[in-house]
Amino acid sequence: MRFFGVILVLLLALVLLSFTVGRYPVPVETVLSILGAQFLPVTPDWPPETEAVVIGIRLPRILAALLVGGALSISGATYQGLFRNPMVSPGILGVSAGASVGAALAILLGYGMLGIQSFAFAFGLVAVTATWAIGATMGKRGDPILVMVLAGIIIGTLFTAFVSLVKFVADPYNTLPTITFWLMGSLASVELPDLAIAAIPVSLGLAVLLGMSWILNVLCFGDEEAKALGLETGRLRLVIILCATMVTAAAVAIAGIIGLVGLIVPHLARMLVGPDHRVLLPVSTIMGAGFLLAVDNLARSLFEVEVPLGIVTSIIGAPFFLYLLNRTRKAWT
Amino acid sequence: MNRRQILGTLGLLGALLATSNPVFAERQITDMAGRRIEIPDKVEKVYAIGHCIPIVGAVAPQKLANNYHLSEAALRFLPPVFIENKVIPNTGNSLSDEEVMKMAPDLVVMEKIPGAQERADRLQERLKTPVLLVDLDMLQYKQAFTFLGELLQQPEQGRKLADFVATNMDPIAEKAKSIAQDQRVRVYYAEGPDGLSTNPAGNSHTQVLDFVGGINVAKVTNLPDEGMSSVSLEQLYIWQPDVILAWTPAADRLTTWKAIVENPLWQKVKAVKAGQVLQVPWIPFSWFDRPPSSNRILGTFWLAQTLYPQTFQFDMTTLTQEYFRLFYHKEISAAEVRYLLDLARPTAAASR
Repeated sequence: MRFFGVILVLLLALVLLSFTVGRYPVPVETVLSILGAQFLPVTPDWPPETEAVVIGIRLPRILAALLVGGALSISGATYQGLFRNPMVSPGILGVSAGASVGAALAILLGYGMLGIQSFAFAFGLVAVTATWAIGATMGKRGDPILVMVLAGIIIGTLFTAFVSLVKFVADPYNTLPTITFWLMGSLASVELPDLAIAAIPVSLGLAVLLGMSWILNVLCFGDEEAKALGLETGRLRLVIILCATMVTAAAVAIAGIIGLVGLIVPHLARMLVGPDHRVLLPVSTIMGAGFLLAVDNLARSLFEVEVPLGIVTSIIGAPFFLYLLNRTRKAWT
Repeated sequence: MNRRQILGTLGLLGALLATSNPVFAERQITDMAGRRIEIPDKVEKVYAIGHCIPIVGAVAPQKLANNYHLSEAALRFLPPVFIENKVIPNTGNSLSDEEVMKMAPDLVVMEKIPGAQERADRLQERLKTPVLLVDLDMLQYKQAFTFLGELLQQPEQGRKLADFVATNMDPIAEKAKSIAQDQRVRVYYAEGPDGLSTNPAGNSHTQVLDFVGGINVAKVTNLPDEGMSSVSLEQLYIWQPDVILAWTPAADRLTTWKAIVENPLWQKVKAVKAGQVLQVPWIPFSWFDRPPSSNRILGTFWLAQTLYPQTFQFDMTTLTQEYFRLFYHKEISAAEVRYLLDLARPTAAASR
């Protein structure tokens, strides 16, 4: 419990720090007064632009980084436990590939941000439904988990081909660059209304996953043991997959493809707190939120150009992952 | 003559023989990258790659063999000669080698960009058809029209277009130089569905802005090709442009324009506060960019007068009509000109 306290305080400190990071110069004391003024009656002595930067631009961006980072990490940790495989990332069942198809289609059709997000979310769910349907029908004979993972790979490849198809028919001067940039991942255009919508599936999925974390522990021992304890493994697995998918699809819909977060953070968390999912899932969520927030702070403040977030997470994440790999060769669950 | 050219010539001769075309006569021409190319004496059919479509269509629409996918609105503003019997790619904007072979053009015209020479040479080898490079830089339009006029055997039309550029467009750059630094308008070019992508000064996509003496606020690295650097709204609070130009994809639905104008956060940007978010007119091709070809000439008049009404006073109706007559071979009415210009200010157009 003390550990939770420590990481929550660290996260809170990082959030406060993030309000001071950005291209537009805002002094720390102004940031604090503006934040305070949201709750206390303070007479503003700062220009309205400054408040718009802190509340209008940075606040949604910070919340989005927390939401997306936490979502990707908890679903990564969940899938790694569910499939008993440390190489699994949140995209394993094809949700990212599906969301990419949706977003690319919406861009091709000239829809605005809300259209892109809704399409991405819907197609993410479609892809996972397809994977699950294949797994459920074909997995009856043989190892259901193996079939599900293989189905995920196939569906992922298929939907990636659809993305290429959309890119191929897209106008190379206008639409194609937009699709390409979306696929690189960014939080630059996330706004509070988008977040409010995305927060519904994320918090719903998050709550169920955290509540069911003990079941993941049991499922880790294998179907036989779980059945012996009287658990309906098939149905439970479906609920867990559904929640993890909802959470990931919502995250991808607002942020695009952000690689490695959902793979690395659960490992880092496991290194710190061990494989018990009752602790691992909440710790992964908090650490993922913090990790993505820190990386996004870099992405939005380093240059006048926004560096796509997916690029930064991968460039920072890859060496970091190798370092973890080297340190924890023994500690896989 | 090096070996490649000999081979190319032989191949070309072979192709001519194979099509049982009795025309053997050939002429030599130097393209705008300085390559000397043998071309058939009579040129009837030209495949214009990508950005070259508007400029080839301006010189010889009847010889243009291909076209873009165009919207209904664009088609209404083009004459039949510009749109009938054109090959339109099924996907994207380019044709496969086989589709080009099927089209059997006498010539291929390609934009001169870095690395284009090698690609042109290779394409020429594969297709056994002369591939010529044309410079689409705005400062080279006169040379480009003269060159294309000669190439496509329309010297008269090429000269008329070059003269139009010399009389109407070139003086703008001269006059723009005299605008005092503190009088210059600061402009942001908003691309992407959210308006948060842009191209900096010195880029081919924003050359019209540089040309008319506007200050491009985006001080970002000039990325090659399409560019489209992503920036944050916070950065726009610092840049505080006087005018925002919304790009043209999905302009009929005003996707980008609305994303800016209807968003409360953008209201802190000077241009939005002042109601100076302009939708770049896009019919029949964008007036500002994409394709960055001769369609931008019209945009030069529009943007110069919009940014500096004190310095530039054109008769936009006559000028637009003349441009359409010369470059699109289409007569349009004053009311149609009004309609095209009104596209720039969607609110004004709606309340009219």
